[in-house]
Amino acid sequence: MALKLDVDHPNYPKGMEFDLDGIGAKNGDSVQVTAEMERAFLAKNGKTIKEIYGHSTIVKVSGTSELKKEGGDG
Amino acid sequence: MPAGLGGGGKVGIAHETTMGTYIAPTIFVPVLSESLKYTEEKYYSEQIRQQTIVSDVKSGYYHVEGDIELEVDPTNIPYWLHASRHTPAFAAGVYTYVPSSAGSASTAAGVTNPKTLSITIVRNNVVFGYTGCTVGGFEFMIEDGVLKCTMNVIGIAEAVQSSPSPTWVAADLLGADAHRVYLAASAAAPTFGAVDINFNGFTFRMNYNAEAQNRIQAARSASYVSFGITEAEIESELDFLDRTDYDNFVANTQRAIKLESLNGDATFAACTSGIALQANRVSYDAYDIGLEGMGDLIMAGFTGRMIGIAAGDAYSIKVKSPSTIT
Repeated sequence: MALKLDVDHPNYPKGMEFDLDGIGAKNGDSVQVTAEMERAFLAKNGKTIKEIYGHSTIVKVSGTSELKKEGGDG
Repeated sequence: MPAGLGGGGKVGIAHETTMGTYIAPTIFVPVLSESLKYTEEKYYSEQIRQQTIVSDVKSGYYHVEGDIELEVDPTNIPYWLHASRHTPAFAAGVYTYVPSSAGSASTAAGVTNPKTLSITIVRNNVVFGYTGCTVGGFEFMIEDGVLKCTMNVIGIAEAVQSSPSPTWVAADLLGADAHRVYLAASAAAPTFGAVDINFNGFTFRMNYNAEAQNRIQAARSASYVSFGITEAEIESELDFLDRTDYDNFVANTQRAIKLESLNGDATFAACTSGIALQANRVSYDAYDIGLEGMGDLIMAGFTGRMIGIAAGDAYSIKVKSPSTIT
């Protein structure tokens, strides 16, 4: 399963839109992350999604990086 | 690491549950600039020992202090105001901040009024975590048509922290078509009439005279932040049309002044988001009118000091915001 981001911010209303360092997401929703999105994230931030959001209490990261499946460093 | 640009930075905040204990940020605040810095008074030894240069240095007490300049956004401004010297209340999506009658003396008592902030700032990918921070003063002003605010922040300590995980929300700024200024007779609940369309600039300024307090303990960081006299001012200039407010200045007749900056509707009750800065009793400290030059408009510049009022508040700040502060 590709990476999935579940966003749950207790201070903002459900449906409020977030920019997660280049990935759009709505509060209370989840986002399926494609390999292309991962590559764009890595290029923009110099770090993988798991490196930046792996410890977040707001954004839960699950699944496996598509880049890792492709032999990348994700 | 190569040099970085300011635009790559980020500022995140969190209300602390124990004053001075770091909390990773959950609210990310777009800022225009910040100058929060480690401030220390080192001890330089002036031992007399046949030389005229100091002979030793010891690290001294320190605190953190600086300004954070931002565009006022009703989504995040309540987080800052909760960390200022106010008694906050919340009902029907509106945060109301009024000065408590006695006023809190310091941040030492706990994290209720005011809450303290952990402020995380990333500069060129280097993380600074400032703790025990309070808003020691602030200045709302309309600049280039946009309502902006400069927060004067004072905190007790700084340490390196983990890089935060940002969650940015869309900006909800208050632009040139959002602002309305009202004047009325001073009262605990003033009756404001029509919008006054002659104002050219508006500054709503608070100074709580906050100071970091260092106490003897096995640490160099500050123990807490104290507050002094609340100095509250409004400053502006407006087209000079008649003697009414000049006479009020001379006669020390107090006025009520309000700025509403609203999105979505012309009234605070119906707006989707906004802020109302209201002073209920303002004494003009200065009211200057002059002929500046042959081609210059004749303007009146004034500074008004807010003062206490019986059975009411000297001022109030109301914010209609989508945020829920827990």
